[in-house]
Amino acid sequence: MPQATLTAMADDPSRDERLKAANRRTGLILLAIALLFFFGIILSRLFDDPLVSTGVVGGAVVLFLIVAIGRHLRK
Amino acid sequence: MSSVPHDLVVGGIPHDEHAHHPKGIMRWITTTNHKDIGTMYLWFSFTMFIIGGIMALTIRSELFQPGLQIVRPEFFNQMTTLHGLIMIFGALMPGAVGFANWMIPLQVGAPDMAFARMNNWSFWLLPPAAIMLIMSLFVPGGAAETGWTLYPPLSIQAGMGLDLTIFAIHIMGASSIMGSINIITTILNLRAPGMTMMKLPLFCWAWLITAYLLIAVMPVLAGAVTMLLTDRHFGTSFFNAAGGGDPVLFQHVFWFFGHPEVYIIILPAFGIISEIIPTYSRKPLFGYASMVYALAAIAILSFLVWAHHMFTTGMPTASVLFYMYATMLIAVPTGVKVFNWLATMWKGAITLETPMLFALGFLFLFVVGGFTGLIVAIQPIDVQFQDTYYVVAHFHYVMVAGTLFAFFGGAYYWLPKWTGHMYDGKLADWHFWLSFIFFNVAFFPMHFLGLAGMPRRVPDYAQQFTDWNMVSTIGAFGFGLSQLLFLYTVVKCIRGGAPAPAKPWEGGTSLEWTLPSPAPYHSFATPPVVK
Repeated sequence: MPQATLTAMADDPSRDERLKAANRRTGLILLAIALLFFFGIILSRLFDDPLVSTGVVGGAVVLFLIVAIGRHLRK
Repeated sequence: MSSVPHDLVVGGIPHDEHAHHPKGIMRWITTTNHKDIGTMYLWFSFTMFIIGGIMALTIRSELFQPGLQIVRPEFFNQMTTLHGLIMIFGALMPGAVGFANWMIPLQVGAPDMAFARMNNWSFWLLPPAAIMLIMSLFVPGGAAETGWTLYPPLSIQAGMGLDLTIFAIHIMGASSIMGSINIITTILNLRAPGMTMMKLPLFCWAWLITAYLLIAVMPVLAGAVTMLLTDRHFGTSFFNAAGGGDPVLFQHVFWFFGHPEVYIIILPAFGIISEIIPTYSRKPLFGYASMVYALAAIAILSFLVWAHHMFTTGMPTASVLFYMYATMLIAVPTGVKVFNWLATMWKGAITLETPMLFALGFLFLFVVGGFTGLIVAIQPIDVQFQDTYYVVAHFHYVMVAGTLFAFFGGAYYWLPKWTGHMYDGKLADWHFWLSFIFFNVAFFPMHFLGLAGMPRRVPDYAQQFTDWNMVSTIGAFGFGLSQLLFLYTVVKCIRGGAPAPAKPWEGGTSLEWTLPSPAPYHSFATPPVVK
């Protein structure tokens, strides 16, 4: 790739902003998922049938993993 | 990827060799540079490895002969607990993150990690957590004596040391989650133009999947130990049977974290091995796509097998069969990886530099650990081996000969890129052979001890176990002392040596080898383009 094009890419402020926004979005989504699992596993113990609710949280964790990893495998 | 089947075009923009950054200690405290942070992670990991190793040698010294010789039984239990926690949370996981910090931006062509400040914070959470963990030895009652699994009811009744352990786990967990968010975001958003997901170096793929695993399980562990804490101090009864709680449920939640944790530790090692073997075989990695799918399959299956750690707690036959067969199923994608590594070497122009020696050592010994894993996956056998030295032998073949050997191989592989110097090949080879021999002297006899029924986590044993315990202790000391050779070789390489070219290994094809050695403080300020 010609050097001029490379420089233009690096100096493009709108690209940097887009990238920062995308990073923030990805980071916040992942943080939200982590918090959901943390509180989910504790709150699940407070339901009438903790085995079922804990199973639901566990299922959500596995589903998250399948979706998160699976979507990259298609690219 | 030593493995990327594409041509690389890198812009000829000069790198900033003389960036302004603070000098001295402030450089390390305030740095947001991924290379500095990676270096700190690696040194932290090695320090913890030495501390955890000293604890292991204390355990082995006590076990040199039957009877109580050196330490009290309570202290022995504290050593087994802290050794496990320090090696897992202090040595192996930060070690893997150190490699990730150094190599992921270089391999994807990014200028740094996506959240550079958070990266600094992720690292600096670790030293206080480690200090808290070690200081628990000095509080009234001493450190936790529960084993690293922290099972109730013992953990509910334990002293203040267990509270410090719980807080340390919280802090290390937060650090891991922040690190994972950073790694995922960097790989997904900061890849060089043209680097599609299926062109990612396999080390990055391994880390992407590991980071997802961490996001999924660290909150579960944090939740479990938080409930333990409230049971201890706030009158709740999540796991306290006296108040209607269920201690076995803690085991389920713990191992829902604990089994994927094994793969969190081994997958980055798989990534490193997948870089090393093609480089020294001078061939592209065999079956790149199947390697990626195998990583994904291992990660997902790892969530479905946790109860094989709990066969002796009693469970319905259908559950036993499910967990038994699901566990065996993991051998399929793992076998795919092993056969692909072998196929990569097949008819390759192999040379045996130190990283390749460690990769071959990994391959041989990890397969031994994998096979013994298959044996203990069989429930009727597991009932016999539960809490014996057979299990200790099994997981040390996976953790030490698997992960640690891969880390050593990775360190030698990338040292020229990190330091700008070639390491002393003879010393490094000696390090490998001494480690390989003494590792087997230390841990292979444990299979015999376990088969004969010697229980773990007990400081005394029946007289008939003496001979193999003596052999094992001699091996452990030999293995420990061999690591001083690693320290010496690394320090010698940092201080000088033959200058390393940009690409010291002719088989290396990933982006880091397009940079000069040592890698400039700021690299890829302009994204390279991957064809």
